[in-house]
Amino acid sequence: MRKRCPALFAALIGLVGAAPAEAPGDMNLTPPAAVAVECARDGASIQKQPAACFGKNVYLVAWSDGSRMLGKETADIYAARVEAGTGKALDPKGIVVCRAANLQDRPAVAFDGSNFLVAWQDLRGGADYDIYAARVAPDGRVLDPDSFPVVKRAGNQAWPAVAFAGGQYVVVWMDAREYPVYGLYFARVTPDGKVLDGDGLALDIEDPARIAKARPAGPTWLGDKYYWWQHLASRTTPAIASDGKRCLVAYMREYPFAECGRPAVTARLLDPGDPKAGEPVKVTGGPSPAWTGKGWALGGPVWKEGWTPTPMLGAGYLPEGVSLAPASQPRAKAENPSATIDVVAAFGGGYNVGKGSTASFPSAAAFNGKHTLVAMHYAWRPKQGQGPVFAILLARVETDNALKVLDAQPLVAATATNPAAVNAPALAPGPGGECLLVYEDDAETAKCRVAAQIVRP
Amino acid sequence: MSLRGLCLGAALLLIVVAVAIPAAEPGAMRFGNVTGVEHVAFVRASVPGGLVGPAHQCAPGDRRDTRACVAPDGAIWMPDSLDGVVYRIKDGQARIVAGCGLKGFRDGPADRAMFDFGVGSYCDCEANADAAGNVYVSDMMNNRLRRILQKPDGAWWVETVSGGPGKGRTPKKGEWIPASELRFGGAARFAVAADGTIYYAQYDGIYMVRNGQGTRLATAEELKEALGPKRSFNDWHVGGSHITPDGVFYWMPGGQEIFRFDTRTGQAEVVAGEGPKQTDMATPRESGFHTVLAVYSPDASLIYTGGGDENTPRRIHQGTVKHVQKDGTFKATKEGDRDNWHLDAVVALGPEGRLYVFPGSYAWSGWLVRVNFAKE
Repeated sequence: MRKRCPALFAALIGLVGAAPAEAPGDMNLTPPAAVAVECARDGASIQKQPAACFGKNVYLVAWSDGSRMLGKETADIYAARVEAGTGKALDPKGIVVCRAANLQDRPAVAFDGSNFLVAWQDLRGGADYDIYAARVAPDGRVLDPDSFPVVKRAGNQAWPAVAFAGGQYVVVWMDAREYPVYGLYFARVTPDGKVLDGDGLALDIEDPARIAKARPAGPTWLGDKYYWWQHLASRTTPAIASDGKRCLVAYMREYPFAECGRPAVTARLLDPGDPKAGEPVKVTGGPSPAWTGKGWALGGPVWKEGWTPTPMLGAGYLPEGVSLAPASQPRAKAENPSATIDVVAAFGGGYNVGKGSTASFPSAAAFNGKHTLVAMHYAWRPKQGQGPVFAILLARVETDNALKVLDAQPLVAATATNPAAVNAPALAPGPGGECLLVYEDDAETAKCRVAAQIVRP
Repeated sequence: MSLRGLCLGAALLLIVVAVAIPAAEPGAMRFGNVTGVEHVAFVRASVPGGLVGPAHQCAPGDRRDTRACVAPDGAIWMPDSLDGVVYRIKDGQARIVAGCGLKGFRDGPADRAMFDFGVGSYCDCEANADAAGNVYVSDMMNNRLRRILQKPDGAWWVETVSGGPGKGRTPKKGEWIPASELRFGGAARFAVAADGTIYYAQYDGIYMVRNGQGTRLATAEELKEALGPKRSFNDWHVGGSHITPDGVFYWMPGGQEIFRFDTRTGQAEVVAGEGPKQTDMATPRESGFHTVLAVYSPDASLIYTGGGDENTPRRIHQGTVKHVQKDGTFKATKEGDRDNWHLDAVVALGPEGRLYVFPGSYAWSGWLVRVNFAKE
């Protein structure tokens, strides 16, 4: 299922810049296949928010499975293995990782050399989200069938990201403990499932003194306080990559509008052995990080700002040490380079994201040993009045030398026309330069399955 | 006991009951000064797909450019235009009831439905509820009006009430056509009566949808004759519509003038907004507006406007128009007065007269706050 946009090739060459010195050749994709085709409950198969990681000849794909209907929530954490090299689905019925009450969703996966750790956000108490996790062996056994809390405290702890570095898992999440903003916290988890930082350590949070200064004395306020939260900034939606010893956490950071700031991708290098070291830096590129062997790539949607921002598929690059300007200055501009493709031009249709607005285009990045592979969800309306077309786009980016998008036109790995859809891509680097691409293949109201394709350079 | 004694006893009982039971909700409407604003839901933190949980920590994809409604059970319903989902806030908890997180069109189980509310710098999407608790949302990019309902088995469902693929067609006055063929256009503003009948002002007149059929109640020519020739009557994109229990339809095309149309008599008239923009004058008609939203009490005796170019909510009540001040009082001023309270976009009026507002709709929005008022 590959589609190209030849009519726009010439235009895109101009956008990308000079042709690469070394032609990258075509990407090769295996046909899409459901990772758990026999996994169904109550006559429906609803698999959402996939995540994947490679370890010991198999990829482990985890997802949130079931209904999100208010009052009838059944969304649980399931997983399935995919054989490296062939892409063969090894667990067509799926592996139950956690079937607690209420909602379990947004799983993340990492591998420690022996086992996988799956972490997710969990609304089992019904009041707020906590972060739970369970280990899964490469043979598919769930080693923690009751799962365990990584952090469980009042308020939301959500959107986990996990990597393995320095001999420990690092789980990062967004946390609402400091009203009225979200900050980022993390905890280290040993390979045998012991949480070392039960309440979490701060990764990037709003200054409590700043919150205290802005906040009204009581629960209500009058006009002298206006919209007092405009001086405060949340940190949200972390993603993480590991070089084996350290992690790069990339996330969105609000910058107070009162100080002329706008939300921006921000990153912090995290050393599990020295968790206080490192400082957030404002970066360009997308929100999905990957370790390239020499530095860090940041792939995904890059918004060309303006009254009507334009979505671009692109990537930025950070050197190994990540020593750019700190993010603490609201007006500080990112200093790292980036390269982009204008996807609106590539597909001949905008998304009508609106004046001053951006859209949610989930993304992923992985290094295949030679290039950084960037995946991005995109949607557009071919004609006014028609339903949108959805696509999973792939592009390779040269990141270690001159930063360059190598594919003059993005490869369409999967596409669907409304009311069907494709969404939520995730990438996992595997052996021999291959990567596993997984995404939601949303065919109809009762069928939304996680599909997988192996991408070979 | 004699009949007289029985009647006297019954009368006394009625008096006791009348004293003991609080007044019905419409009677609880408050018109005093603002006593304070409180945080109801959402924080300034964009999370693609949305993050639910405690209402004060709910982080949707985007919180701009949308209206809200308060259902009969007190739940607040609010669409999120970025992710195409609809939130329900009740008992301090926020949940996504409808929408799978992708923009598109799909009816069916609410959590698998798709919407495309569009986005923009104006408040393009509206939500309204009927007396049964069904919630209606304007799905502008899909050219449809959608209804969110709960089935007897508890399942939430989304269905199309009006509009369909293509541009649709315009019925003649008095002609009834299937609502699915009706030209709904970009009618982001509409009113819902208690029984679920829908009213809206669109190209070429005022329309009504009931029981799957639609008709035109008034033509543009008739409205021009009653209201003046140089006016636009299309209440889309900006403004706000309302239907009173006795059948008077209010609308505010372009966010400048408020008109009303009596569905029983067919008479139309100007209510407010013929004066200089953003200025409170002696009467509503002499005052001027340049806003994007209007919300109404059930009988329309109380109207709030605000949002867009008018940062300050204004109250139309008892023949006057006034801006809310930073100290919570109301005063006749013009926009830009330094004592005006830049509270911004009024998105809903609760049954008890409390106002729901998005502060800072153009810029640093994100919170839904509730404005509380003292008794007169």
